[in-house]
Amino acid sequence: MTTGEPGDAAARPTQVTETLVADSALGAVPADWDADRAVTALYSTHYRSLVRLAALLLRDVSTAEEVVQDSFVAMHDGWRRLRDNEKALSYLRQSVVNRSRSVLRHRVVVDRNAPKPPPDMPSAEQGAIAQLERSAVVTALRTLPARQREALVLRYYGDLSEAQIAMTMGISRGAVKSHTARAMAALRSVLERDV
Amino acid sequence: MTYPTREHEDLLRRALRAAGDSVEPAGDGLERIRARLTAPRPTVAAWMMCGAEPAALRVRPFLSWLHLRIGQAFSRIGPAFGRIGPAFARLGPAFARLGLALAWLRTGGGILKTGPRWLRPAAAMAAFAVIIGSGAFAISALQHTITQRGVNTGLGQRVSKTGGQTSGGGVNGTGQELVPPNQFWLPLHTGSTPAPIPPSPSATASPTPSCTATVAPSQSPVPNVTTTPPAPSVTPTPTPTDTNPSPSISPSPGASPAPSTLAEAAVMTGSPAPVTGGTVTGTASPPPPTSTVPC
Repeated sequence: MTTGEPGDAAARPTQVTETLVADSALGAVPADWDADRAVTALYSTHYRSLVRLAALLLRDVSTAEEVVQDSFVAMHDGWRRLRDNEKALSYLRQSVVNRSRSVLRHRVVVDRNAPKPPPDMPSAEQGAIAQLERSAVVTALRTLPARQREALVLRYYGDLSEAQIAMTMGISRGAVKSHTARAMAALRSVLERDV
Repeated sequence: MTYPTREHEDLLRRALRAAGDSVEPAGDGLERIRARLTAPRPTVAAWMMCGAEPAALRVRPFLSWLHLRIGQAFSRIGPAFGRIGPAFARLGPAFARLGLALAWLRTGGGILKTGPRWLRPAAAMAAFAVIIGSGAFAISALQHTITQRGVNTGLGQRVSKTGGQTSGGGVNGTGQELVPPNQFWLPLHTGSTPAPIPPSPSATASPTPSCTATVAPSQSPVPNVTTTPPAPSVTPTPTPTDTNPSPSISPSPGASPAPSTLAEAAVMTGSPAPVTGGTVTGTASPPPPTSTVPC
């Protein structure tokens, strides 16, 4: 994975159509839709981007898929309780972030207590992960605290605003600013050193 | 604190996008979601299989014991409930009127909707008070009935264990039998083990005039079931009767208590017991003027 050139910044608005912000308008689901129809519509438009978001947070594609599928199932179960159907995408995004946190928390406990397994043959998923970790930025991103990593991913991959990030992470806008600034400061040192 | 520059932001954005684009989810995600939505939840099924079944196995003896106990208790208080039935029947129209009034208030009257705010809690409190009052009345009636039945049973001869008398019966204040229906356990002998007597098809409610037996003066204070209803001290007195005492029956109160029931007398004489459907007969019919016992 390449980090790209700095001169490509002008192309950003046209290249982020896969990200969450470009599909935010499609997150509005009509109120008269039932849960199955809404799930199908949201899957076709947001499933891939949500899986990628979770993969950036979890560094595991299969777990990211499970997390997103769990979020879809939860949204289907709670579709009647969803007060504003137009915020279905926000609900999905928040659910993905919360479940990713839970997975990371559980993973920390498991890694702390479980013995190290012997290295297996590299699978396709591990190849993808290795491709992910090839990037120095992503490698540096792994060293950040979870909240800072979430803020950066949502900000620079999802292109969400501070208010949306605050709502997704469940923190205040000031906290979002603080996490973003600290994470960027930490990354800058890494990137300047590598580049 | 340093602020991120535009260059670093773009660098991070491109890196994250490239990393994200390299992730391609499986194409059967929607099928997986639908399968999880339609299939039964494995956690619930596992809980039911692992937790509910052993719990049910453990609870089953308790449930059987509870069922037995409830059946016994219900057989005891069943006649009492039958007696308080008229009380509930009297409360039925009152509840119906209350329901109609509430329905009118809810729909036609519109008082609850347009009236002051305190009217709805007041109506609720009034309904609550009515319900509590009716419940208290029903409980008091039940207690009164049970108490009365217990007193009568305690005075009755039928619950004597040593005498081998039947239990579960009794005589109320008016001399009427309180023997529960379908009770065939009447004493065959003076022993403590009762013998079942099937209902005789020839037993009728009216005493047979051809076979009458005069009960000897009982030693027990238990009233005889064939005495006249208004007699509060229902112990039969050896008044002269127009029927001849039967020599075949000579109950001795010393060794064995005197048979105070028709069935006992009938059994001792070998004649069919005047029992119809488990109820001692001779009480529903117009009582004979004497204490003679038809058999």
